[in-house]
Amino acid sequence: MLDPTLLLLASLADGQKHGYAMMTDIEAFAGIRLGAGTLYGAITRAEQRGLIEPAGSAERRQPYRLTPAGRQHLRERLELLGRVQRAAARRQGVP
Amino acid sequence: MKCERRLVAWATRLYPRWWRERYGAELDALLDDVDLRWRDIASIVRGGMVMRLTRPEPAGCETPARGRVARAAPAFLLVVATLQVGALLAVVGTVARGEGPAATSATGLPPSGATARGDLDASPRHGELVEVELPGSPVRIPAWVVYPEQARAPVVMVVHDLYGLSNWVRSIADAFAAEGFIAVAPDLLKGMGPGGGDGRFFIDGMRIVPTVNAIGARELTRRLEVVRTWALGLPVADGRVGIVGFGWGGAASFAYALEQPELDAVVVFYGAAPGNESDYGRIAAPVLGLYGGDLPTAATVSRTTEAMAAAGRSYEPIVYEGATVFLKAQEGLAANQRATEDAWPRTLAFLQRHLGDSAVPAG
Repeated sequence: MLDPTLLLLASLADGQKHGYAMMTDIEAFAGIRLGAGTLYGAITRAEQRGLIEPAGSAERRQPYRLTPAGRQHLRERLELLGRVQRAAARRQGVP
Repeated sequence: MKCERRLVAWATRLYPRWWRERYGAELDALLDDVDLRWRDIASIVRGGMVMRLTRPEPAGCETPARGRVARAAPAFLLVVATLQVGALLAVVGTVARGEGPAATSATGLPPSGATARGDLDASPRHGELVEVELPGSPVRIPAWVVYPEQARAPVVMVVHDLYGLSNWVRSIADAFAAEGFIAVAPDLLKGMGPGGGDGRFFIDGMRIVPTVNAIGARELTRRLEVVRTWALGLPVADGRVGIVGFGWGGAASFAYALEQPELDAVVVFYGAAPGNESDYGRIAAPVLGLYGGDLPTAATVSRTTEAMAAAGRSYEPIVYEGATVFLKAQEGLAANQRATEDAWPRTLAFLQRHLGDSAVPAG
């Protein structure tokens, strides 16, 4: 299971989304259906860490967007995942 | 059968107060949208527990000192673990009994956003998604159609709000069918959301408004017109047709009445009246307008009343003090609950009066 925070940041990488849009987006690109509580846990932690921020809205559905720190964090995590993936692939004999 | 929704409402109370004040309304909005599954409830129970025990509160929040939380932790964990098992058993039990995962509305009241999913699951009526061709265009307009029990019936077109053909709008269509109408709810936003999605995929209201406005009044009339014609062609349609719209759809319905003199009744829920008041004389159908007093459209009612009277047209406006989007958001605001209790039977009586007596409520 991938870290929900990573899924959340990846979902917001192409623009702001509210909870339902993130949930359907993550299900579409990763095949993972996050529970509503799991998603909101990730939203809470990411906002506290300054990785995402609410985008203004008068609606009940609150959209979020990446902060510059969130974008940087996503980049670093993707680089790490890339290194792990390459190392694992090499060790399994996959070019 | 409010068990599951009560369960969710109860589960969200496990979150600390600061969290509910900050995120509670958003989580509720999400739960209204999703096809609720047991894992949502389980994840909320788990999330509430985790949020209380592991997360430092943001600065400035009035919350217990961490020491107190830590001292309370073992007992709290035990309680939560017990409740979680209970919650899961309750959900598994209701699913096993075939009752579906969501709450339903109270007897005599229409579905709210919170009960829509459960009401749809519990409905004994046949509903289907059809596609209506738009002549001269590749666009096909999806429409959710629900049939009543009797052989012939009047048509009620149900026009969605800014959020498109949601579960809630489909459940409202089902509620009209339960009262003896053929309910036809077109999806006027289909394909217009980001990525080709429907209205729920808009991330916020600010982006929806330009999109729906871009449809244009003439195109909107054209779309409603093909849906009306299609509905009247149903073998079970008795020839009469009314239209009921919510918010943006209420405004669209009112505007459509200017263009289509063969409508038999118009019900506008919290939507604005058309701006071209000098044309009100073209409206043939009687209009029932139902407004939340705390929404901006309430302020336009006196002007609309005068303009409709000057044009000699039938207009019955009712403003519910303190209410907002009452039918959709019944929970949480007493004024909305009261408004719904008055507006729903009033709407049904109005439609039955103007669409003839072939509409026969089920049961």
